[in-house]
Amino acid sequence: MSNRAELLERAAESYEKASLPLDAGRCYLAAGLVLRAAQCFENGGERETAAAAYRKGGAAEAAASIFIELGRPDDAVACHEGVGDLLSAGWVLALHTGRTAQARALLSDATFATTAGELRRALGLSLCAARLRGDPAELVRVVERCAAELPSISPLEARADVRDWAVQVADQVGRHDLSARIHAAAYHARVPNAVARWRGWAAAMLGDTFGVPDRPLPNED
Amino acid sequence: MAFFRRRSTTNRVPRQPAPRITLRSADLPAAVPPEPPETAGSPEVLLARFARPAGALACWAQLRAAAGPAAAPEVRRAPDGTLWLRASVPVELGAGVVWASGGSPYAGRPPVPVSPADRVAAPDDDALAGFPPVPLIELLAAVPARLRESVATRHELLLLINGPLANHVIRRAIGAGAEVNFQPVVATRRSASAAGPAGAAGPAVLVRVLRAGGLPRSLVRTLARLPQAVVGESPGTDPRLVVALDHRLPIDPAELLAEIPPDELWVLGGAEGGSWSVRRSGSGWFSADELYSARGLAAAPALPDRRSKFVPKDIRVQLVRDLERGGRPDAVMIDESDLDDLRVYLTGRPLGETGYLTPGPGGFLIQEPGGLVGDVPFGRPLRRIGPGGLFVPDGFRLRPAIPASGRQTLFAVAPRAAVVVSEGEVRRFDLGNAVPIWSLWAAELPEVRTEVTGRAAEVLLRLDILVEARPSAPTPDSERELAGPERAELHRDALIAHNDGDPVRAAGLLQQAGDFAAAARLLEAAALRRDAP
Repeated sequence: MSNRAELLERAAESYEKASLPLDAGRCYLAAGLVLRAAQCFENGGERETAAAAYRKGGAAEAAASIFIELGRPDDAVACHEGVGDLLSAGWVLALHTGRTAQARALLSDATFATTAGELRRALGLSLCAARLRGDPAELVRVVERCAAELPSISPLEARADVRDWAVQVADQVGRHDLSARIHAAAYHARVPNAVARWRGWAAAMLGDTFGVPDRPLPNED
Repeated sequence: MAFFRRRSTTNRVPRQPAPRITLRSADLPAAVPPEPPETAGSPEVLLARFARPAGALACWAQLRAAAGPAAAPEVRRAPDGTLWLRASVPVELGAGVVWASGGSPYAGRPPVPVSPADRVAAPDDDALAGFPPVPLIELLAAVPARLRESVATRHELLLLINGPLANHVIRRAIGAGAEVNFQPVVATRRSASAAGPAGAAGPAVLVRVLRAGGLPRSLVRTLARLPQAVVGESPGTDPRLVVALDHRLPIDPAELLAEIPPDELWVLGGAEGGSWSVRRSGSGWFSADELYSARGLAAAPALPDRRSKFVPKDIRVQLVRDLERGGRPDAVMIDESDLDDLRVYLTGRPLGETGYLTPGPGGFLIQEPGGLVGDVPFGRPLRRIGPGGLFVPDGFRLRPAIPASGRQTLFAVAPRAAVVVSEGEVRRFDLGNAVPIWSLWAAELPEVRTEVTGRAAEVLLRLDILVEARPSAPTPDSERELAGPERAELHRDALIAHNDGDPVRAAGLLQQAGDFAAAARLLEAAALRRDAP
């Protein structure tokens, strides 16, 4: 005889097949499968419930990104802090709230294990410095350092992350020239999907994709 | 557009307007209205033209609140359909309200537009008096009622029913433990709809359903779904105004009550139910309990003497009320006389596709594996207490409680059968006889003709010459949709498995039939039951 959780899981799977994601989410949640419930809630458009479920299931990154989309950066920060990720918490504070001093304090305390993490912290701190002092000189230096170090970062996903972070920071202070430089560096560093991202960014920010390559660099054999 | 509500006294517009400044240009064309009358401050006649009833209603409510009930504005309909509102209020106050409500104000004698941009001339007094007046209830009926979400417990419902449905309602309400009163009335339809034109009057029944501790939700939900009936409640304490459930009046009910003639009752049913003015026959309320206690529905009579030797002689097993256990029914038992109503009601509804009808002694059992039977407004809702297919009426339980094995022995519950215990009788239904509900209206098919004749045949003959006949590739089994009979067979097996207390197997069969939502509902209900002690 099946037990309760098993029955609920089967019910949830059946609801998913019937294209009823919210009912499926309810059953997964009752069965204790929080992350699958969160996915269902997200598919069903219940983003707030989804974020709460992601957070409960320990998927702080997913929860935080929904909270940011919902315009609730403080909840996103709480998600990151809840799992001890000071770097991400400080980053969200710096980018999505006006609390620059608090962001700087969190970023200063943050630890990191990789080059990408170190660059992210430097980017966040330089954004705080630019905001507090009104002078983006430090920010320009860090973004240029990112562009220079991009080809040496591995794996490729980390390269894409550094590209995204640097572009976000440069766009925050209106330095689209720096963003374009980072996109160009990502293109030459063969970051996956670099062309599409560059063209999308150019179309959205500059209104034009003139001069942006339309295909990836050919492979060097 | 937004409707106006009666404002509190703190922000009410003062009756006596403040001194005002009139700006006039010296060389405007003749369309400019003459200087407003000198009687500023004293009530004067204000005319207003409205294209839509909502605006006229909003303006009516606002002006009545400002000028008092004695000076309620009157509304008339011009032959071209526009509405003309006539009120005795100062122009300074009235014009603003009219503009805000989406109308065009006219003042003076003869009336001229207050706004120079308005070129439509006002009718003179004689012409206006010739327009037919629009009663307030017709204005209300023309304005779509707003929906209101409410999960509050209802203590009293009022139903306006025209037709034999009244008997179903009374029986069902008594079965759910409510007190039921009714009185015959004459109802006049005030809004035209598919069901009939405005102005048609006919006999109807006004039913009042009440219960001190609150009406069961399942009963309220069922009654609210009834066709050909308006189910509502009175906003406030005065029962002369009934508003359909989950609808909201566009204006303050207190404003309306003063306008309802003393011998009338207004029933506002939104777009579906229609709006009605109801004239009572003067008979007062009849108590339905007296009528129906003869059928033994209200009492808790003894079961037939099927006791085994394990039950002591001096204890009688009874069905007693247990409203706490009421909820979504597992099956519905209907009499043969309900079959025609059911056929009309279920045509085109999902239950008609997936539900099963099992004929039995003196009635039919309706079941649906996915739990849709709760929507049926006819018949007696049943709850499965097990083991197997043992049912009691929803809202009742056996007293004294008998364990599952005892119930099986006492009521001779067997596989592939449903046993319904009701007052004074036990009925047995053989589930092997179950037929899909849709067979009720699809039983008599016209002759199917397949031959092609006339010009169509000529065309086909010509095409035969042009197009080479090509055999179509057979569909692989995995892509083939289940044929109707196969699905019906799976559904019936699922029903039997469910009745035999195996929801997991029933869900598996439903999944095979492609009915994943119903399967999921079964599995979830099974899991939740496992929670219960």
